Amino acid sequence: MKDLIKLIGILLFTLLLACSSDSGDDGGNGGGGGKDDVWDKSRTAKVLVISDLSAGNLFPNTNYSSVVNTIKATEQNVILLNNTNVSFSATEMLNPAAKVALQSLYMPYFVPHGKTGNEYLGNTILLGQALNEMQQTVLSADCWMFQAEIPFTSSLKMRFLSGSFSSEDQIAAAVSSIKNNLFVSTLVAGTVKRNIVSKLETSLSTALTKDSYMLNIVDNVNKSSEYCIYILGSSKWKLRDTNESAISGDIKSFLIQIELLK
Amino acid sequence: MNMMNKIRYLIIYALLGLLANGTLMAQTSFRLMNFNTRMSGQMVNYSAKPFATLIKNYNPDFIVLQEVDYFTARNGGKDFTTELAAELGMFSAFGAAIVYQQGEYGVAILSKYPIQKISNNPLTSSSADMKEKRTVLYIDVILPGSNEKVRVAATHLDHSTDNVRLDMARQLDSYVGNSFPTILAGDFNAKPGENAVVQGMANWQRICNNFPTFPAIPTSKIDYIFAKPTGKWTVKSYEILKETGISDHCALVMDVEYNK
Repeated sequence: MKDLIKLIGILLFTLLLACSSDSGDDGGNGGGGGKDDVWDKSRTAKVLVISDLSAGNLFPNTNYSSVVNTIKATEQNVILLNNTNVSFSATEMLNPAAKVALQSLYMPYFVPHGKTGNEYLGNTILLGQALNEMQQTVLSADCWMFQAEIPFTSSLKMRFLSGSFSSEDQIAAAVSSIKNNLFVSTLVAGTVKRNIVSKLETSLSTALTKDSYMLNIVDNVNKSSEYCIYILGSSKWKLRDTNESAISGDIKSFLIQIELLK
Repeated sequence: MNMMNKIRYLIIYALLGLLANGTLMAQTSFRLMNFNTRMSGQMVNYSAKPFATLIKNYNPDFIVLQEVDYFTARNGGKDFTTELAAELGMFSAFGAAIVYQQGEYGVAILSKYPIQKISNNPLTSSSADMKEKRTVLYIDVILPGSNEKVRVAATHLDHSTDNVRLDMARQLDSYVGNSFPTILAGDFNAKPGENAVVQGMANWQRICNNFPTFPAIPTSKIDYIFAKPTGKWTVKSYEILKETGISDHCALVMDVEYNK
């Protein structure tokens, strides 16, 4: 009998030790309850944003080489080229991002956020692989939000969304869409006009529970820029690093590293 | 003229004005070109430029392409779709059918209008006769003016047997669905009387004629343009471009109108 009690005691103690050693890992849907004090780079997505953070066209001329060189020199999972507007007439079109994609060996996906009489205004997502599925949510007539599943390690995929916002209406529509697409792997990146950042913050806090998401406004050297970069996602994402570098003139690259916590 | 007549005339003029602006017009027109590129330009040193030159002459809204290479060894590791998109300034989508020569091989669609959705879907067959898996790629776009969402699809069926192609045609019909007005173009590797065309595409309106499309001086009809829903499409013009010098297929150019 004593031996049996001893055996049960040993088993219980072993079980207790086993449970306590797991306590730092993923606790399920506890809202980012994972270990986040150590940066796990093997679970990190790298988003490269190239922008001058203005409303102007990223490519006012046909000199793409500095941007192409930056893309080729930077390891990343997704590239966001901001304001790669596509001009058109009845007989001709000019799509600078397609030229950049060709030269840097990426596949371009255009995300519109406005339209004039002779231009589609928008961003281009560059990816290292052709997508089998991609869908854009129509936020307003000419402003869409990109969505696709994108691998960022050999075994991890993110549900990547991207949109650029210059009006409160667009933010309201975007937040509504994000609410319906906020899964653990959801990561949203884009630009937002600086004077409506507070609208983005309040809309999110109204639509979503506090612990279900993270929002980071990426700090940049020119804090008075008209636009800024936002990173938004489920609370399982943690912003680890941003690296701002000058490319050419006012054009800069922002390499943003975000870890998907266990 | 009494007051009632004045009001009637005012209403008629207002309606005519709206019609002239296209506000009430339910018709939607566009130009589509279909072209099998013969291994992404094998006849022209795998360059997209001669294709761009030809396409510019016709200024289509959509270009549907088959035999498209994506970084294969044979084309020198080039992305034919993006090369052509860069030349034309258009928006593009590539759909891989198979992994091939260190790259991929499939179909592509270029569009003058931003692409709202891309879906690439595998076509296969349980038959041992199947030589290669194939694909149906479709894109959704919102046409300016009418704001009509249309679906444009591309395919290239296997060159093995009619039964295999019938399997593939049925699958592509299921993938493409019936959500939006849809136009599909491609190399069916099938004559007009074959089951893949007659039975497999029974839900579609064939909007091209039976004139031959292959080879460059054509003797066989194997390239097609279909649309659905049936009975809603009017062909305004249709041209078969022979002896282009850049492919062993003819290019098809069609002006088509969707009547809501």
